[in-house]
Amino acid sequence: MAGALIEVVGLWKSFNGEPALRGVNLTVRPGEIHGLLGLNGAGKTTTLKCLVGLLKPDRGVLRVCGIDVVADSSYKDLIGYVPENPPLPEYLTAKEFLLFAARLRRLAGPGLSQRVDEMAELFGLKRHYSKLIYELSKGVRQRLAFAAAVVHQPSILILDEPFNGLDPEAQRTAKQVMREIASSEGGVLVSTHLLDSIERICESATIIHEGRTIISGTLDQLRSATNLGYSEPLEEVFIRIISSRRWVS
Amino acid sequence: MGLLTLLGLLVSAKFKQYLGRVKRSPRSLLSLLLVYLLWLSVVGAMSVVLRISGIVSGSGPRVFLENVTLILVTSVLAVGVFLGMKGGVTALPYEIYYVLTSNIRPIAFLLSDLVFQAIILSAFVLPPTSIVLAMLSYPYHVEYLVRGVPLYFAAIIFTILLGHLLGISRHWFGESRSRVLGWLMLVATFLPLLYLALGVETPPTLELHPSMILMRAVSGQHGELILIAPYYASLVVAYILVARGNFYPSVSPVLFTALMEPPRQFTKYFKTPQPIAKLFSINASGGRVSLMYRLHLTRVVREGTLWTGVLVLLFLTLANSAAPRLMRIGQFPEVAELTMIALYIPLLPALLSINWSLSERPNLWLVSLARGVERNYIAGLFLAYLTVTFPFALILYGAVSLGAEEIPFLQIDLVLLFSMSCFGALLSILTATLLRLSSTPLSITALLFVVLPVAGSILLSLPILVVRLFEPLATDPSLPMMANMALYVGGLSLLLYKIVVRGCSGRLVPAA
Repeated sequence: MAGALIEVVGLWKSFNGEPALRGVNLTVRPGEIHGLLGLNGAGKTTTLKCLVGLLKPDRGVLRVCGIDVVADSSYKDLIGYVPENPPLPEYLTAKEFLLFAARLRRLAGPGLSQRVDEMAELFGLKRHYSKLIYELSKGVRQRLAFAAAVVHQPSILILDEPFNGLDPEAQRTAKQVMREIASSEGGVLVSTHLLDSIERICESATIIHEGRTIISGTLDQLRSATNLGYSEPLEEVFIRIISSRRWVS
Repeated sequence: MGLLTLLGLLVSAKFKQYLGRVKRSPRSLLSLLLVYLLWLSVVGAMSVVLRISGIVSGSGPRVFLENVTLILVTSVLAVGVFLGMKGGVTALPYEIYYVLTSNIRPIAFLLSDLVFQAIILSAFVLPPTSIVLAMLSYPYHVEYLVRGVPLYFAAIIFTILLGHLLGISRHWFGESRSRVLGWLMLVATFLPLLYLALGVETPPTLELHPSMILMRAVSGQHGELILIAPYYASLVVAYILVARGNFYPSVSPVLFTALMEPPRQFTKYFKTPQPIAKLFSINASGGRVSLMYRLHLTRVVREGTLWTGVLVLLFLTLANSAAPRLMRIGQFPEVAELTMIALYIPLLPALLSINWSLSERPNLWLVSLARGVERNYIAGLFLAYLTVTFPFALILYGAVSLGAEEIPFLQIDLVLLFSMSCFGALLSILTATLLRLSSTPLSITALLFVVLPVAGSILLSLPILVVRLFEPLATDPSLPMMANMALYVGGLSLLLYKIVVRGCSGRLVPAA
């Protein structure tokens, strides 16, 4: 699909012969915040891991900005990623970790420290700067992971349960960052169980079930696929779609 | 529920958790069995060597058994103190969250751990020592077995009580005082070996050391056992007193991996003093290799795994230096002693790589996301391992050479130490990247993490080892020979480095 920032077509992935993904399709266009929804074990995290290069897909097409993810790693410069419950090097201080993440992403020179400070300020990490990550609470670690994912100003953000442990203030900052990326013709793919958050920030979503895409489209398209009205909360729509397991895409 | 039923429940749950993988897979059961048989065969082979060298040096079986007892009891006590410093009580994570939050009394939990540790330690200590006893004391083996095995079991119980008390002492004395106490006890435990390693005459007060008492008891001086009674009495009284209190908040997980993973709770990261801290931190300058190099140095220093590895090596060196004197082998060549130390050196990167696999591998997602940093990562890791291994090898080697009144640092020594450090570091990285180590303390994989780098380094350094063992070549090497060896080590290191980089390509990812 021309112009798509993220394009996943017919993605398959197995673990020990047991298929976890059996044909996932989704598209994220410029300016879009796209939700990836599904029950526990549906294959959301596996899909995102294939997309960022942490897992090698068995088959299917994965493109980021038109770049084949499997064949060419240059797309990695364009993406930022927050994994679910991100493991972090606990022996580093918060500042050292941000510097490390920034330098991994080839930031250098006088702008490096300035950018790191900006991110720390934005996510309220300045007062934790000299603490070891080991000493930080779960929420502060999550903020740190988020700050590290955007320190190099990526045009595409891939987030796996990014609001885990975040307090309301940090959630607002995270959503603001997501909107800023989308508004500058970037894209965000976010997987979360917090459907009210998806409803507020996403224009479109994909629902996967047992490793397959069962529907993908704008939130209104999702609603119209059920017999529920447009005012129904996304939670109700999601449960109805999952219960019927209708195959749309 | 009665205390006995409760103990049975707690101990069986502990075993199910600890050996859980064994139940799920026959392959794991086979793996555990193989590790155990390997352990027994190594001990058996060592006993044969001791027996033969003893015959050559003219020592009788009684002297052997005394010496074996001294080394064994000291090691068992050291394990107890070491575990005590790490927490003492083998609490698995599920116990922290479910057992310790229940209404089970602390004394019941503590006793269940005493039984659990006694079974595990006995399984690993008693059969091998029985083999040693039987081989060394033949044809009087039955008499010695009857005398020795109960004494070793007593030492095991002694060490568990000691470990528990030390671990719980944090609750009463505080973290820092307890740590100081632990270090003092560790030094006290090693004193008999230390005196023997240094070749200094032991002071009369050292005769009251538990290891020395048991050493005399094993040779038939049963009257000596009365001297150990006050130790046990003090331990039991202290145990009953502390077990009455609620020490649960001080319990931390221990012994659920290969001892190289930092405990999850109450972990203390080392904060180095300011001038040194600059060396072990991440900053905004330098290239990517320098970034990775600093990352790994910072990790091993702050997590403290470097110190654990150094401690293991120091103990081995101590035992190695003490053994020949213990065996009264006057003609034991010092060169062999020094060579043995060189052979231990790859243990340090091997132990560090176990920790890398357990605690650093999950963080690899960060590295995987950045483009083209895999080579830098490997280079940084290699340089970090080499930086800690080679200087430590020099210090250890130099100290032992001076102690043995040998000329320290022959040219050939430097080449040998460098090659062992270099090959050890590279093979440790390769092993850790290719093999996935799970959090199971006893597995073939855990064994391979140690065996492959050590055996591989010895094999690759064999040409230098051979030269080191021949007197005129070692002390007065010709220039062409030195050049050849330098070329050999340099060339092979480069080749091995390229193999490591290629082997690790695409594998620097966290577990799926």
